[in-house]
Amino acid sequence: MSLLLRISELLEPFSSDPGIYMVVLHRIDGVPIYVKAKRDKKVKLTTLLYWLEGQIKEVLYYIFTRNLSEASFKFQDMIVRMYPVSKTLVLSIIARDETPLYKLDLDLESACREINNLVVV
Amino acid sequence: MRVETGVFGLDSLLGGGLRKNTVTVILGSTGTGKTIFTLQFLMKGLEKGENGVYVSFDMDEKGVLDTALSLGWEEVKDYIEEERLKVRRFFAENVSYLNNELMSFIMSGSDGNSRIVIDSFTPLVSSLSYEMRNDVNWFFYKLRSLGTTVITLEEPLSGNLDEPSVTIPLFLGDTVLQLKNIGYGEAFNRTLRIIKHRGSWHAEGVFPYRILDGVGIVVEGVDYIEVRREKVDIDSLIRKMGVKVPQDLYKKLKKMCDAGVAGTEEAIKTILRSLK
Ligand SMILES: Nc1ncnc2c1ncn2[C@@H]1O[C@H](COP(=O)(O)OP(=O)(O)OP(=O)(O)O)[C@@H](O)[C@H]1O
Ligand SMILES: [Mg+2]
Repeated sequence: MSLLLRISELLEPFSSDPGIYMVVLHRIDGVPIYVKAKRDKKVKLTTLLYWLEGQIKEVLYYIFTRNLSEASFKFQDMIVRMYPVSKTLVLSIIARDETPLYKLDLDLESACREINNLVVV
Repeated sequence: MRVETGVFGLDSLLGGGLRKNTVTVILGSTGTGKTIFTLQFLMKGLEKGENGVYVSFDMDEKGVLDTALSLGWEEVKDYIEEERLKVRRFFAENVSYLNNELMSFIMSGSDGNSRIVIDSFTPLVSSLSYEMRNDVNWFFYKLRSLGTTVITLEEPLSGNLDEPSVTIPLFLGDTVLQLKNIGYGEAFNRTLRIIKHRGSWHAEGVFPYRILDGVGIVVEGVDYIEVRREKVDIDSLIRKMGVKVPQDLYKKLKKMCDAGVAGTEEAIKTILRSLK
């Protein structure tokens, strides 16, 4: 099974959560490696996706220099939460503002660890 | 008609391979595997009895041979001896843009079905201005009549792609593939992206690749594309949405369903909704 397929299987469950609009795995240069967005939210998310691509490098730098386990932003009525996966990958979850993400945090962090195991060779 | 790239895993992402008598541009910065890609492309044709022409600006015949041998492709030696593979090094200083010597060398090894490589195209166009777009257009036109061509293009390390020497070949090429390596050694650090593929479906997204002894470049991700394929029953979808579809549109939608790529159902729903 290819890496992409394995990663999509790991991340698929998160995007089916009703409060989550989009799940993106970004490379440090802003290239989205994996994207899954809710169909009806695609148009709304496009601007955000472009914006994110430009921020990844700085966010990763910030996360690493401060040793953070995640970083969150508010964007209009959405919340963007980013988790470091490896030296060059970051997982971003975009959710409706009120969505309580703490319940998902543990699962997301463990998915990040699993992806880390897959990509660090 | 399709021409196999010779790069493992890539043809299915291109809907079966390159299209015959087209020009493909491989864009990538230094060390991404452009030269290896072009050698794989030539080898595939030579294996099948086709001829190949290799124009290099870095390597002479020996250099090309050494690169091939380093990957374990000893057959190259025979192909060169049999003169089925013609290799020549040109010097950028001496080759004024698109000169006769270059064209006649390419023509001498081509029969309309040949595989042609220019590695790299960058020295030929480094002093290009926008007015010279027509010249490159003519050159590509000529190449298409001679065979199926792959040219490499150096991506500046600055990442700035706005130079005419980069944009003109990208716009005029039929297919553009970008190779990237961000260099931390992680699995997704080397990726291939299909920027365009005229006249064909192609996979969207970025696909990790590796460079391996013996086989060269291997691209991953075909299975990911396959599982996302959709089987859509157009008739029941139309019935469900309760719209009347004109015959000519129906034919188009049917063709789309046959291709069955990811997102088909959603696209058809959007179209049907617009009929309401
Ligand atoms: N046998 C091998 N096994 C694994 N990797 C290899 C092997 N041979 C070459 N490579 C990789 O391929 C790279 C060189 O590929 P190639 O010469 O095709 O790059 P290029 O894009 O043409 O670069 P250039 O700017 O030098 O033209 C090396 O840097 C190395 O990473
Ligand atoms: Mg090279």
